[in-house]
Amino acid sequence: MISIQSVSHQYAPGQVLKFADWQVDNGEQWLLLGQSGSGKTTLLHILTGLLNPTGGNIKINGTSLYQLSSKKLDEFRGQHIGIIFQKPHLIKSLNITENLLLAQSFAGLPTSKKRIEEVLDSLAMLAKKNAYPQELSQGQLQRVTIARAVLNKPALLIADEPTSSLDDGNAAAVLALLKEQSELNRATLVVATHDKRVKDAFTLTYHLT
Amino acid sequence: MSPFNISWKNLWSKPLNAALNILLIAFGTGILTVLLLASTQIEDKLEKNSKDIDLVVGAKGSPLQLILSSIYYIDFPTGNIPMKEAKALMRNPFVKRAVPLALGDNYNGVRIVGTDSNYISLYGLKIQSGRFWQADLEATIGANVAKAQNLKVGDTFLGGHGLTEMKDEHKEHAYQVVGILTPQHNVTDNLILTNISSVWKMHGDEGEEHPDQNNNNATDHDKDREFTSLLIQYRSPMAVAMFPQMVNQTTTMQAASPAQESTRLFSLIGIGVDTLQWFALLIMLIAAVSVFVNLYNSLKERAYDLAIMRTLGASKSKLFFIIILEGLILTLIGTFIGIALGHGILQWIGSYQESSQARINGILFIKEEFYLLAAGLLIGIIAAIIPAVQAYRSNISKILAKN
Repeated sequence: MISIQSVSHQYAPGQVLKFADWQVDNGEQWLLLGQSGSGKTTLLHILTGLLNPTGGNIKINGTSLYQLSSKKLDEFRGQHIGIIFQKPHLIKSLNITENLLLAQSFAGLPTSKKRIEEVLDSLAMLAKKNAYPQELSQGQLQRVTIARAVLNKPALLIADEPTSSLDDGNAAAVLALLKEQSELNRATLVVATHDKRVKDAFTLTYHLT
Repeated sequence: MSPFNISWKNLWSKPLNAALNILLIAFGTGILTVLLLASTQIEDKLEKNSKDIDLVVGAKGSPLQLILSSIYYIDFPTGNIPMKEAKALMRNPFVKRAVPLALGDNYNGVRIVGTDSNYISLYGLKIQSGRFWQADLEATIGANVAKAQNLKVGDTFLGGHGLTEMKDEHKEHAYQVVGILTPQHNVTDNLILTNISSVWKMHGDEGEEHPDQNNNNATDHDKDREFTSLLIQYRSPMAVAMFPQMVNQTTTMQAASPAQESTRLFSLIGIGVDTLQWFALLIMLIAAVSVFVNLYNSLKERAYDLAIMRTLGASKSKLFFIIILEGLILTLIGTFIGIALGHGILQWIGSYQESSQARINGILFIKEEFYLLAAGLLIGIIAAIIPAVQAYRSNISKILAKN
């Protein structure tokens, strides 16, 4: 599923981050652990095709990411990778349904309101489908971003510190949703965090030093 | 969600900013539309009305005034010319056709023109109903006059002294409408035509006396009757050099060329048109800057939005397109509103214009307006191009990591 080989990234002259080789199989759920500044976000950006590393090779589902053209890479990301960020971010000028339609059309997939309602329903957000982002709470917004990430049934679901801005109750709920949704949509899950509350939920971990 | 939808919704999430930009562009385009339409129509009218007239001979005074009064029927005549001298000119070998005019009366602001049958062939007049004037006090009226004054063949009306107001009505003599002209789309649509002796009759041929404010048709005696002016068509181009000089130097009259005077008039108006044009262009420039600032500022706020769009699979060129589209939407809406506004304003001005001869029409569309539309498109693209390039080039990894 994911394979990274001798990947390193030079983010400033003389400052190079090196990442240990990593092999992830289909349907596995991994925790990516590391302190702030250890390169978590850098690795996630490299994995999702947002940042071309200065060295090494990354394969997702057998596709060598950085050998794709810029346009193809964007499309690949839209279709096969779902990303959830630390702070839930939706387009303010669009309502929830429109935000999700955006995820379908940007990925180059046919739009389907039925699929959107199905995903919103599985996250108990169907009642808010016509609401605008500013009308929702942080916890609700995070659930919509999860909906957006799994909408296109991606092979890989990546979450960057999804719980760090949430209280205990919401953090546990979001984590449960992530695991549930990745199983429901048969996606491989990688959660990057330094949040101790999350650790016990995973058996597979990749440590960054 | 099409790119258009995304651009549209984003613009209207800040309605005041969008409205301000549209307003500026509409204002600039509106002024340009008014200028374009008005100057086209005025030029067209000037040309159409003086088409076959090479020279106007009248009393000494301002040549422009002579042209305005005898061809466009706007200003007052410069005075009168003795019939004897005029008749001599009409027989001159350079002259192919000479049409005498006797002005001085009106009916509800419509000028009554005393003339002869040469006038018909000079303007190529045609009859819609009835016939042309023949005897004294018979009148053939223009198509617009019939409509506006509600006159039919057989109706009678009283002329008033002067050119604009109905005062000192000539109560003793009533004109009778004997014919109505087909619309000629020139000044004759707004005139009442009769023979010259009818006009003389009004002014003292039968002993009627009244004060002469405008110094046009003075009280005449049988022996020295007067015309207001002569419209002259040359026999050969050679006359251009000789004839006007001859008139100006050897007679008490003056000769004025419609072509020259129209050009002079238009160059006088032109200064005002130029100034307004620069003013409108300045507004368009401000509008372009305003659209640019609007897009540029919103781009800063939307950097994260755009980065998210990229993570969802949108390509760089799609983001570029979305930003360009926002510029285009603003300027196109503004341009359309501006053009509509220009037509509306012109129609409104036209409906308040006193002199029906020079009335401007707001419902006329000309192909130059497409240039305005193209200019609007261009401004939209130019204003949006820098923000769009920035969106295209933005480093999403950096933007996402910062948050």
